[in-house]
Amino acid sequence: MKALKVEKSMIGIENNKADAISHLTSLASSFTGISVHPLKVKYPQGAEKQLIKALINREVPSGKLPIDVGAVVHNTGTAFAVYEAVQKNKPLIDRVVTVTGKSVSRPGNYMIRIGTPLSKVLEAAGGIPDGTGKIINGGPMMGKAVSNTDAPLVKGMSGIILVPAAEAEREPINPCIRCAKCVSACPIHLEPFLLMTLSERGMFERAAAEKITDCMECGCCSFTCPAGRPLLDYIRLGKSTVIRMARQKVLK
Amino acid sequence: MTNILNVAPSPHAHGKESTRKLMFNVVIALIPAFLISVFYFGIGAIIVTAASVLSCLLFEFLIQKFVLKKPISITDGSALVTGLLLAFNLPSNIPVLIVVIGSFVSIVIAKMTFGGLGNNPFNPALVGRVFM
Repeated sequence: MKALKVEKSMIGIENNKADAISHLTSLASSFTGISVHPLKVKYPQGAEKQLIKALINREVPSGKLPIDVGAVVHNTGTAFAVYEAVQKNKPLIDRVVTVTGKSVSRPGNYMIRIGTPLSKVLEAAGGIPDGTGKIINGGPMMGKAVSNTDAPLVKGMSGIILVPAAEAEREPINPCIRCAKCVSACPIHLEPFLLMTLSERGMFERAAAEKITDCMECGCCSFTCPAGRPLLDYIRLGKSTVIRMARQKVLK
Repeated sequence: MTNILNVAPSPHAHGKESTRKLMFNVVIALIPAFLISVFYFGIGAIIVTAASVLSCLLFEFLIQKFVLKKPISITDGSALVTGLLLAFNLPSNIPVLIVVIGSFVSIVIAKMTFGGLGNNPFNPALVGRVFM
């Protein structure tokens, strides 16, 4: 708060973490300007634009930053790292990582040194169970599937999920029936079915006009699609192509 | 390390909705209308509905099996919905042959020639009705 010269800071916690809310509320009561706000459980909400909307009901316009509406968002990991750096002069050498999954024998939060191989982390959590089909670095919606457990832990990792083989496969792709579930699901009001088709057909100028670069890749469209269409895969392809095209235009 | 890891882009979770569930929700929503039509028009409503649904399913099956030679997808419920909607657009004393012709236009001309489920520019059932 001092570094930013602001007087008010808010902590948003989803309603299903009741013990975290009560604990932080009692801690925050001794500081002026800090308040804890229980939030409705929904996805996506942790991304800064969605959190700003939920807490102070301001929308960050397309192409703008949170500071443009007068807000700065930090997640707990960053806030804790800043505290340790400033108060304890400790550099960022470890972080808390959540290891979870239905088949994990000791799921939980682990304080782990950065650089530890994933295989060692998983060993601490009880080893990789038989029949694991996928290891995800991050959350189920935006995380990346890991191909090799020798990869080291880096500062951006917050969680590791082990998925059984039966749930690791995707569903078959069926034709789009224009139910528009993806349009209602999109948190930034894009039209995922249109962006997917435009990317599929290589119509990237049109996709750029439809603001494909505003997509934050939350995965809600692919999650909700009843026909199991890989909307986000194609939107990612389109988005990266549009960004590359814009860069080349600048270079010319 | 005996596990073979599956690598795919996110999201790694998928909702419980499917095309089939949506279609059967439509069918459930149409059941009260069907019951009322039986109440008012008697056995004729049942005959027309049965003829329309069965012929729609049959035409879809035949087209996919012998013309397009694609996997059969009549279990997704879309032909069932088309058949029901077509039947609900028709008078209860219409000859069965006319119903079958209407289903043919609905499924073969209005739906499958345009590329099947999801690619029809007009509602197949209504195209069949307009043709009749």
